[in-house]
Amino acid sequence: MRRKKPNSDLKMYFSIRARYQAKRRTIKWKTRKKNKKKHLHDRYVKQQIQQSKPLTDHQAPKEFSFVHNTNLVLKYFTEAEELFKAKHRLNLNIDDIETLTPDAISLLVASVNDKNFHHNSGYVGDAPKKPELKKLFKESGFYNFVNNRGFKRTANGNLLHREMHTKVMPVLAMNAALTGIRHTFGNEEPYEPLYDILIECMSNTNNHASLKSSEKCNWWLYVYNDPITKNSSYSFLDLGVGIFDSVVVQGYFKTLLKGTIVYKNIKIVDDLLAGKIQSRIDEDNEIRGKGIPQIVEYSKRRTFKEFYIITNDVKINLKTAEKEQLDYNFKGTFLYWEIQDTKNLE
Amino acid sequence: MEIKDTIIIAKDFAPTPGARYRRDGEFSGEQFLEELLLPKFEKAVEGNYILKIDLDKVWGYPSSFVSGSFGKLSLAKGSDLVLKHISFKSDENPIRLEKIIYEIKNPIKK
Repeated sequence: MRRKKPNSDLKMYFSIRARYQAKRRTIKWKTRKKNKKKHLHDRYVKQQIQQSKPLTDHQAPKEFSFVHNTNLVLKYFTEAEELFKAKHRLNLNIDDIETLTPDAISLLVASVNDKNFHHNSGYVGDAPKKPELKKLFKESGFYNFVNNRGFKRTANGNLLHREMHTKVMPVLAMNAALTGIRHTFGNEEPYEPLYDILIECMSNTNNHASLKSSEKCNWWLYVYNDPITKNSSYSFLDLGVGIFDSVVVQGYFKTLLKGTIVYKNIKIVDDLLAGKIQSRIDEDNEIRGKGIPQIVEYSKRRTFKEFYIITNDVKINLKTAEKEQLDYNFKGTFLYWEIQDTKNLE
Repeated sequence: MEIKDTIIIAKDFAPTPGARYRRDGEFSGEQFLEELLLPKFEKAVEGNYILKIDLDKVWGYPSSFVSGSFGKLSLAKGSDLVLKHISFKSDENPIRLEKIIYEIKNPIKK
């Protein structure tokens, strides 16, 4: 019996398959596969060695508040990063802290989720021992964003959000605003300054957090409703390059001296807040730069009880216009504000 | 000139305006300008009538949205022409009105 002639599709299939099989027999192919296998094995061995290392205990400052104890908290994170870089496995020990504020929780969760911070060196940790702090920590939703051995997942309490794609998310901004408005004002009426600030924060991260347009940086938002004061606090942060490292200082000599003792970041704060400093983005420069002045203007309202910007080596209190030179550099931008019902003040 | 067309931002666009560019995310100023504001404005200029813009029932007007839409329109067409053919309505918040008119008159930062 004669064999049936294969049709053109089958012919095509067999010719492609034959080419593929021939490719697999080449030395180049075999070497590549061998190297890949070796690389995966080496990585696995490295991980095993890293995981078997003893833990280095790294104690957090007693007052674990980024806004009120900025230098010591920054020191804690800076030292942790150095230890991680040196391939230490860390116990991020917050067991014995005496004060904990929501802003510090947001910084901690953003950091432990950032590869540039932990350098894949491994970490463990536990909630604070003090019952009220433990409650605050657990209810923050922190555990939803860590699946490390030390931190276990629990149910989400307040609004803690991580945005992976660094996009401006108007619906999320509305929900975040509503979370605070319901709690603080007891209604659902839009409060325009709050919504606008949230959009400007997201937009700022999307456009300025990274120096390379291809690199995008995540942002974090934590809204905490304080059951005692009835105020709501907002912590917004990205671990990008920070505002001062992302702006262009006009003039050749100023650019050369930027960040040095002669030309410190703190000296350009006023220009920054007035929107006089140009961003690295070339597009529409003549009409841009109104976001930060708008935030500054809104921050003066009585509804905003506190308002801080921490970026690079500068802390700015927008309510009092005070600027503080920090001892450590914060790689990123952190905004914190608290809203209050002004009716309660009268 | 009479009002012959209206844009109700909350209904025709979104109750949650976003940032400046489309690449920033949803409901950007650029999107609003290209899809709604500019085509309707050009028709208003052609037909010599006023386009009314209702600013109410919206969560806010971030400066980047205002600058990316009204500011850009003003920069391209001139503030006098824009203010001749556009009128605004905001019963909820008159400060919004001032903010947007200021942006149209001063699209370039000082």
